Amino acid sequence: MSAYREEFEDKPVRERISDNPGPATRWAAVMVALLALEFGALMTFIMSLPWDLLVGGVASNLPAGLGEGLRTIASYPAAAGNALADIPTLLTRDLIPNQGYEHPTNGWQGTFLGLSPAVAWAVRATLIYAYSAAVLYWVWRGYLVFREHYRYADWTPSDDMVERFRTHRWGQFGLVIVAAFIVMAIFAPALGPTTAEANIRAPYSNTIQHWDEDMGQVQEATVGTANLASQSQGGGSNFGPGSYDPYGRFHPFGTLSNGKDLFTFMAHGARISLFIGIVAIGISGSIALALSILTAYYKGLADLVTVVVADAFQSMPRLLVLIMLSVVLADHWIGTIFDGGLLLALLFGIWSWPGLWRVVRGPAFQAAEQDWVDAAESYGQPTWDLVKTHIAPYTFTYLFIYMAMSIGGVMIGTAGLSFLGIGINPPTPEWGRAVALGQDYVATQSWHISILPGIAVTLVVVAFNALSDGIRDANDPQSEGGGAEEVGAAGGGA
Amino acid sequence: MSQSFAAEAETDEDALLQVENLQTVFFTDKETIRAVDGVSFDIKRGETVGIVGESGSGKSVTARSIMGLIDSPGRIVEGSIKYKGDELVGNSEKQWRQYRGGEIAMIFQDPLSSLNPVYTVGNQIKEALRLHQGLRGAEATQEAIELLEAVGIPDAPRRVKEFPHEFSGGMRQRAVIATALACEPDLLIADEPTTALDVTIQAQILDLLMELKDERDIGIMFITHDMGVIAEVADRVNVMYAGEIVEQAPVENLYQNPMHPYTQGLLRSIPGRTERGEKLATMEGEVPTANAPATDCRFAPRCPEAFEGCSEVHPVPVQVSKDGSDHTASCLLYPEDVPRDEAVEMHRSRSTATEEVVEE
Repeated sequence: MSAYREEFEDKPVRERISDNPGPATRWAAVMVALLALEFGALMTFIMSLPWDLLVGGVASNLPAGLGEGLRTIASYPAAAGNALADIPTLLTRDLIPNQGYEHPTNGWQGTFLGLSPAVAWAVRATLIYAYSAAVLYWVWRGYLVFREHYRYADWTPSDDMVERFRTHRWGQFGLVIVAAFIVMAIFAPALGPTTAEANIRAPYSNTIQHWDEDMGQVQEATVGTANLASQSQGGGSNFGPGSYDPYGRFHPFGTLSNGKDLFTFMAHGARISLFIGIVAIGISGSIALALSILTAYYKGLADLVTVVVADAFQSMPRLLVLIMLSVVLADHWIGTIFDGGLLLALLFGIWSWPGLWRVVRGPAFQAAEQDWVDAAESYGQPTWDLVKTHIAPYTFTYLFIYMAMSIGGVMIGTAGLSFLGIGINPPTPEWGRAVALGQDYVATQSWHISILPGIAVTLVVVAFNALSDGIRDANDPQSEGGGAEEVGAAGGGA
Repeated sequence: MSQSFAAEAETDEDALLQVENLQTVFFTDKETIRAVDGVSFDIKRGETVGIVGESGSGKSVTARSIMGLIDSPGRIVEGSIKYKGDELVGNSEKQWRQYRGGEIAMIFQDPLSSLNPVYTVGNQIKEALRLHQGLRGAEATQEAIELLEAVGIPDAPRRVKEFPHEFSGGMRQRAVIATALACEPDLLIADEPTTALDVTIQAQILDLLMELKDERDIGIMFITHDMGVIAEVADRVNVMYAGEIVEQAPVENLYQNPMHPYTQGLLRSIPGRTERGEKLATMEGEVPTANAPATDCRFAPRCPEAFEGCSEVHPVPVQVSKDGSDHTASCLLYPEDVPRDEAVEMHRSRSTATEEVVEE
C-alpha cells in the first residue's frame, strides 16, 4: 500500500482541487442548491438570536460616544441579516399552511391543497426532516469526495475512527436523535403547527379564522380566546396528542394546561436548550482546555493552584449559587436575554469547568509526558508551537467527548431549574417548565403535558451520551466500557 | 608517572562542552533525590564521550540537565555547564531555547515514541528545518529528503510522506537522527539510541552515528548501559554510579585496565568476555538512591573489596593511569603506591575540602 499519492506532492488543497475540479464542482453545486432552498431560514435563525439586547447591553455599559458607535456599527450587519432573512425559502408555513377552517360542505379552507391540518402539518414536518437528512448526507458525501479525490494521504488514522463509528449502533442511535433534536431547534418556526409569536408570546395580538357553526360563517378570534377553549386540564377538558380543538387547530402533541400548543412550545424549547447547552459547554470546555494544558505543561504550582480553585468552585453548592445569581442578576440586561437563558448558560459555563478539567487533566498530562514532546522541545520548538501541535489536539479529542456528555447534564440542569421556576421565565419556552405545568395532571387524561417533554429531555440526554460513547469508542477502541472518570463529567444537572 | 590526585578544574579551551561539578536534585514531597551529584567531564569536537551505568545511575538526568529539560520538581543546584565557553546553568527558558537543536540536539531511547504518530516523518523533520534553517515548503521537503538519504533511508522521496508507524524500528531511529541533523547541531546527545533496537540494527545505527560525527565534525555524548556498545563507539568513557562518575578513562584503558571495582564488575558481567561454560558474574543489589551529599562510598555495600574506611570516607577522583593517559577513578583503593591509611586520609582531606567549597 502506498501511503500517499505521487500526483499531489506539496500542493495545497486549493491547487489539488483546481487540478481536478470535476468531483468538487459537482458536490458543491448540489450543496449550494440545497442550501439556497433554505438560506433565508438559516438567516432567520441567526437573526432570531437576541443581538439587539446583547448590543444594547454592552453599549449601555460603555461611555456614551462609544456605545452609540457600537450601535451604529451593529446596525449594518443587522439590516443586512434581516434583508437576507427575508429571502423566500421552500419549507415555510406560507407555502405549506396547516391552519384553516373546515367548511361544512367545502372541506378545509386555507390549508395546503385543502388537506386536513394534520396531514398538511405532517407533510411539512416530513419535508423538513427529509431536507435535513439530505443536507447531512451531502456533507458526508463531501467528506467522501475529499477523501477519494483530494486528500493527499490515502489513509489516515481518522479513517479507522470513521470505520469504527460506522459499526457502532449505539453511537449511531445517539447521532440520529441528536440530529433530530438539532433540526427541531433550527427549524422550530417552520416545524410547529403554529408560531411561538402567535401562540405563546402574544396570543391576544394575533387572530385566527374559524367556522362558527351557530352563525354559519367564518369568524375571527384572537388566539388567546381560542387557547382558553383548548386547555388540557384533565377531567372534561383535554386535548391530547393528535387532536383538534374547537377552533379547528391541530395539536400534534396536544395542548398545555393553558391551552397553548405543546409541540410549538417544545420546538422552541429545543432552541433554548441547545443554545444554553452549547454556550455553557463552549465556555467550560474552553476554560478546561486552557487550564489542562497549562497545568500539564507547567505542573507544580500551576497545577496546585488550579486544583485549589477547582475544588473551591466544586465545593460551592451549585444549585444555591445558581439560584442566588439568577435572582441577583434577574434585572440586569444579561438576565433579560432569553428570559434568563443567557444568564443560565453563563452560570453553567462558569460552574462546570472543574469537572471537565479534571477528566482531561490526565490525558493532558499524558500528552505532555510523551517522548515526542520532549523530542520537540529538545530541538528548540517554542512552547506555544509545542502545545499547539502536540498537546492540544490530543487533549481536545478527549475533551470533545466529555463536552458532548456534559451537554446532557446542562440540559437536565436547565430543565430542573425551570421546573422549580427559577430557570427560564415565561414567555420563553423551556421543556422543564412544560413538565412543571403538567405535574398536576400526570394522573389524568392530560398526562401528555408532563410526560412528552419529560421523555424528550431523557431521550436527548441519553442520545448525547450515546453519541459521545460512540465517538469515544471510535477514537480509542481500547476504551470500550468506559471508566469511572466519565461519571464525574456527565454527572447530572444542578 | 606516579599516581596522584586529578588536577582540579582542568580547563580545556577547545572543549565543546565542559561540565563541572554538576548537581541536579529533585525535591519531591517524600524525599530529596540527588540524581546527579557532582559530575564533571568534557567533550571535544569530533569526539564521542560515552556515559555508562546501570538504570537509575543518573545518565539521562545528566543529559537532560545539559539540554535544560529538567522539569519541576528537579533543579540544577550546583555546578556549571559551559558550552563553547558560554555558561548554560541559570539560563532562562528563552536562552536555553537558543541552544536547543541548533547547538545541542538530542536523540531519545525509543524511536517510536520520539516521533508523534499523527504527523508524517517529513512533517516533523520540516518543523526542525523551519526552526533552524528557515526553510519552508518545497525547499524544506527537498532538504528533508536529502537528510533522510544522508541517514541511509532508501526511497526517501516516498518515505518522507509516510507516518512513523509505517517505518521499522531502525528506520524510525534514522528518521529521529535526521530530525536532529536538520537542526545542524555541534553537539549530539544520544540517550540510549540503540537500546530499543535489534542487535543487527544497533550496529547500523552506531556506524551511522560515527560516520556523521566524522563528516560533520560534531561532538557526541553517548549514553548507554551496554558496555559492548560503548566499546564500539566511544573515545572516552565515564562510568556513572548513583549520580557520580566513578571512573573516567580512554576507552582502551578502561577495557584493558578497569580500576574501579564497579567497572570491573560491569565488565565481568558482559557475556563473551568470560570463558565458555564459566558462570557469568553478577553484582548483587541495585543502585541506591542518593538522598544526601555523600559521606561514604556509595558503591561500598555492593563492593567485593570494601573495607571499613569505605563507609566513612567519600572517595574523590584519583589519577590511576599507568601509561600517562588521563584515567581517574574514585575509590579508596587508590593511589595504589601509598599505604592504604594514607590514601584514605588523602581522600578524607580532599573530600572535606570540596565540601567546604560547596558550603560557600
